[in-house]
Amino acid sequence: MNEVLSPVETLKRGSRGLRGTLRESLGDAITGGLRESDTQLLKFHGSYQQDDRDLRDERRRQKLEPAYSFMIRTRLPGGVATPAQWLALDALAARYGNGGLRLTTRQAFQIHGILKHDLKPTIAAINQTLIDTIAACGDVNRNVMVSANPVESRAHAEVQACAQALSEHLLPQSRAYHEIWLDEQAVIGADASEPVYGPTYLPRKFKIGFAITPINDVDVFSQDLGFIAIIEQGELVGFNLLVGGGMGVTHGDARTYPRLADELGFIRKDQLITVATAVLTTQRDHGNRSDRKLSRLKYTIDRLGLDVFKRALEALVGESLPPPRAYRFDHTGDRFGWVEGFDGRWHYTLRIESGRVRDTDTVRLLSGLRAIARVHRGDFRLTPNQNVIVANVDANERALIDVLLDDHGLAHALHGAAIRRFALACVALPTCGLAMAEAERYLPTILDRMDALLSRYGLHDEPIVFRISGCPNGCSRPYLAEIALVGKAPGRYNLMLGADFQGRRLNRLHRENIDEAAILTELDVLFARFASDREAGEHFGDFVVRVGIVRAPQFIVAKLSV
Amino acid sequence: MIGPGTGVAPFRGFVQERTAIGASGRNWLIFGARHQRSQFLYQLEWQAALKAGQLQRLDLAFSRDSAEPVYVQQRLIEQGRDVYAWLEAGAHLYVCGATAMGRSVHAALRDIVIEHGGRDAEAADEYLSELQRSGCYARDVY
Ligand code: SF4
Repeated sequence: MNEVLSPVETLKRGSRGLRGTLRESLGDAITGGLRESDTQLLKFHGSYQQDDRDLRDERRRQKLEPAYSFMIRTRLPGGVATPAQWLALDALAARYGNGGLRLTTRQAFQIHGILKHDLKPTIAAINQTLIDTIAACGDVNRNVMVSANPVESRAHAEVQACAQALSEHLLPQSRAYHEIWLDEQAVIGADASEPVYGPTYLPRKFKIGFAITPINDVDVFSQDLGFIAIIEQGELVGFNLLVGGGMGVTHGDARTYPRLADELGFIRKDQLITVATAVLTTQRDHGNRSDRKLSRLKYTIDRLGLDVFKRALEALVGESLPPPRAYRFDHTGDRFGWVEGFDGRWHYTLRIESGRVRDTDTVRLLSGLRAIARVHRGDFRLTPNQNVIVANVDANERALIDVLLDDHGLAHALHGAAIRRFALACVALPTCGLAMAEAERYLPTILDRMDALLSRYGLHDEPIVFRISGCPNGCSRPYLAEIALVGKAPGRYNLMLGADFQGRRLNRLHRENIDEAAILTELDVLFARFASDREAGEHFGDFVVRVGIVRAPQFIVAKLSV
Repeated sequence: MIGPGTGVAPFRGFVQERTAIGASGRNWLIFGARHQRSQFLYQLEWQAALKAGQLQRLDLAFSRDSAEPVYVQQRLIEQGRDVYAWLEAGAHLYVCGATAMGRSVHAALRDIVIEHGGRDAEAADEYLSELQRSGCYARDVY
C-alpha cells in the first residue's frame, strides 16, 4: 500500500517508544486535558481522556474548558482478581474516581472521572496491587479474554494460564510506562526494541479471546484472534484457531462491516504463542495503515483472501494446520447464582447491570462486594457479560457469602425478566466521546419497557440476548445479539435482529434510525408473533430468521477495492 | 499580574487592552484558586491569550488539587529570580484579591528582593516602597 499513512502512524513512529510529551502534558496546569498527540499515546498506557458531555455547553458559557477527566482501564487477563486487588481498586475508585467501579465487556476494571493531576498517583497505586494498565487501550493486543466460569474442569486453569502467558508475551516492551507513571529512571539506550510490534505497533486494536465450551461468553467469533479450547477427557489438548472477527462499523460507510471470525484449523497447545504471534505480525505487516476505519484484521483478511492469509500463517508457523475439531456451544451468557465446580468448590455469579458496581438505595453492589472481598478467600472473576463471580468458595463458607449478599440487597438481583440477565450496554453518554445515543443510562428504562411487552405475551422468562451500543463501534458486541439497538442520534437507534443464541450468527439491520416509540411498536408485533408461532425451544433470533422477518445473515464477502 | 480567585477579573481588561493597542513587551499572570477544574476563571480566554501570544507567561496555583496546598505566593518564590529580574527591568506589578493574600504576596516579594537583590530586610522594604511610590507596584485588595 502506498497510500498516505494516517496521522496516528506518524505519531507512533515519532513517539520515542510511546513517551511523546506525556510528561509535559501531565505537568501543564493550564489545562485539565492533554496535548492532542498525547491523548493518542495515553491509550497505550491504559487510559483515555474524556469529558463530561452533559456539561460541555454550560462550561463553555462559563469560559471553562470541557470537564476533562480520565478513564483508567486495567489489563486483567481472564478477569481474575484477588480480594485484596478488589479492595484496592475499590478504594482508588472512591478516592480518585467517580461512581464506583466499572466492569467492562472485556473483563477489565475501569475507573472513570480521574482528574489529570490524580492520574499518576492512581496508576502508580494500581501497579502496587500487581495489576497494570499497560496496553489496555491503543493499537496493541488488548485485554485477553477467557471464559470466566471456573467450574467445568481442571483444564480451565490451564487455559487461563495460557491466556496469561500470551498476554505477557504480547506486552509492549517500551519502558515508557514505568518511567512516566512509576518513576523508573530512564536509562539511555536501554529501551528494548519492540520485537513483536516494531516501531509503529499495530495498525489498530487487536482482540484475543479464549472460549471454553460449552459457554461462548467471550463471543469468540467477535475476536480478531479467537481460541476455542479443545478438552478431551478433561485434558486440554489444543485449540481451534479463529481469525478475523470484529464488531466495529462506521455508519454510512459501506466498506465497513461486522465480521465473524473464520475457523482456520486446530493447533496444539504448545503452538499457541507461535501461532498467535504469527497472526499478530501478519496483521502488523499487512494491515491498512492509511485508513483507520479499515485497519482491523478482518479487513486485512478479506483483502488478502482467507486462503492467502492461511498460507502466509502456515509458512510462519512452519506446518500446515489440521482441520478444526468438533465442539458445541450452548449460549453466550453467565450461569447466575451458586454453581458447584468440578473440585467441590462453589462459585456465585452476581448480575451487575452494565457492569456498574455502585450503591443505590436498594441494591448496594459496591458496599456488598467490598464486604465480601474483606472475608472472601477465593478470588473474583469478571465475566465478559460484565458480571462478577465470587469464585472458589469453600462449601462451609457459602452461608457467609449468602448473608452478605442478602444484607446488601443482592440476593434478589437475579429476579426479574430473563432479558435483563443477558443484556449488555456500553458506556456511551455522557462519558464516551464517540457516543451518538444513550446506552448504559438508558438500559434500565428500555428493559422495563421491553419486559412489559414480553410479559404481555407470557415471555417474561424467555432468555433473549439484547444489547445496546451508543454508536456503531459496538463495544457491547451488539451485532451478535438477537435484538440490538445501535445508536444513530440522540434517542434514535438502528434496530438489529436475528443473531443466534450461541454467538455464531450476526444479526441484520431491521429498521433504521427509529425512536423508542417505533422500536416498541416493532417489538410488540414481533413478540406477539414469536409467542404464537415459535417452535418448541426455538430462540427469538432463530425465529425471526426462520419466518423471514430478517433474511438469514451471512458472512459478508469482501468488496474492497484496494 | 497577581490575581488569585476573583482578583483576576481586572487583568482580563489589562490583557484585552494591551492586545487592542498592540502593546509590545511582556506580561505575566499568576492565578490561583482551590480547584483547577471548577474555579479556573476565564480559563478558555487565558488559554487563547497564551496561544495568541497576548499573554507571555501564566503560572497557576490550585490549593486543593494536591496533597500539599499551593498558593500564588509560593509560585512567586519559586520564580523569584525571574520576578526580581522583571522588576529590575521596569515591570509593573499588580496585585488584586483578598487582603490576606495581598499580605502574603508582599512578604514573598520582600523575601525575593532580599534573596535575589542581595539586600537586607530594611533595604528590601525601602525597595518595595519605592516601587509603590513610583507606581510600579499597585495593590487592590479587599
Ligand atoms: S460502542 Fe461507541 S458509544 Fe459505546 S462505548 Fe463503544 S465507542 Fe462509546
